[in-house]
Amino acid sequence: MSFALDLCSCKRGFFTLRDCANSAVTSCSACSRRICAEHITQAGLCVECVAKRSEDAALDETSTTYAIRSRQRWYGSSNYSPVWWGTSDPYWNDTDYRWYEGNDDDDGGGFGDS
Amino acid sequence: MANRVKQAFNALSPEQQDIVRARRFSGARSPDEWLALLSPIADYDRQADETRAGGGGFFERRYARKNDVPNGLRTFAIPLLPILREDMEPGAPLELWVDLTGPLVSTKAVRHSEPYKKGAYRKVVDTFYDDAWLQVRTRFADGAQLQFAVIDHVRSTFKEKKNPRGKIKRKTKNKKKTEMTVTLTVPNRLYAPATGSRPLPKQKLKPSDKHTKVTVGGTLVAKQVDAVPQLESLIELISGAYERVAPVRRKKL
Ligand SMILES: [Zn+2]
Ligand SMILES: [Zn+2]
Repeated sequence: MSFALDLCSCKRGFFTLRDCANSAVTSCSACSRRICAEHITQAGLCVECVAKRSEDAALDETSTTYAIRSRQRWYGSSNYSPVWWGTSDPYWNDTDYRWYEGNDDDDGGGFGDS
Repeated sequence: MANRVKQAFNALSPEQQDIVRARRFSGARSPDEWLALLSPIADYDRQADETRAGGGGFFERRYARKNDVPNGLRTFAIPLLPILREDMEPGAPLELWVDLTGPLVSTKAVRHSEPYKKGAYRKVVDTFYDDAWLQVRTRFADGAQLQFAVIDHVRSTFKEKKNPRGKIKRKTKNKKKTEMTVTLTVPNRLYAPATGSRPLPKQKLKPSDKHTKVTVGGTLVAKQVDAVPQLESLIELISGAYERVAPVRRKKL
């Protein structure tokens, strides 16, 4: 049995995606997911929602928002499917990521709490 | 009038001023440490470039010309750092070797042709230069080792002819190609070779006991000698390397 930790819902990575290990501090005003201090923007949206919404850089752009914006643009323009090493999230349903579909032998059933 | 470019230069730390003067640096630091060191240099370079393009007075323009930072830093190396940071293993160093002194220096000449005649030219000599101006090595959170190099290959052609009045005319023409090579070494614990990847000019897959080494690369023809390739070309190569392997288990990293 494990405690349900209040962790950030954003994914780290560019070529492969994994969970953000930071504790959540707030919720995104667009997707309502719990988000950490690094992945929330001044506008109250998570960096992933910001990247989905606009092409223009915000005035308060950090290296994290720049990277996530570049990632969103790259997935949209290049047909690249990132490798998925994270917890599943319906938020990512429209992204064509790659993950192992055979029987899992490692995490005792896969995408639960580990 | 105050020289704004000089003021901006003086506002840099001694280490940053040394990088602007030497146009080369290397080391192993975290991406955030690299960004803290290099971003002020990029800001200075942006200001100097604007001045050189006609913004300031004569002395400002001259100062900006003398203390220029080649654009490979501002348009390629620095924007790459936040992207690599995303996939890097926390705490792993990012090793950088950057040399922006340019390809046309004698130490980078690798060979030259024997003098030959061509058309009206009584003497032509080709000199070939190799300039590995950016080399990077780091470790990703999935256990992959990433290594890549951006290498400019320049052919510099010196031509000499006599015009009908007996006057000697000389000229030199430079042509550049940029080669990029990416090596991604992934652990077999997580990945196995896969099919269905995008075609790339150069590719090699070398499996071993514990790792699979994917090497991909390509060469771009540059329009001018000082042209810098698009960052997307490198991102495409790293993507292409990852497409040559597929995950073999479900796991949360
Ligand atoms: Zn959101
Ligand atoms: Zn986060």
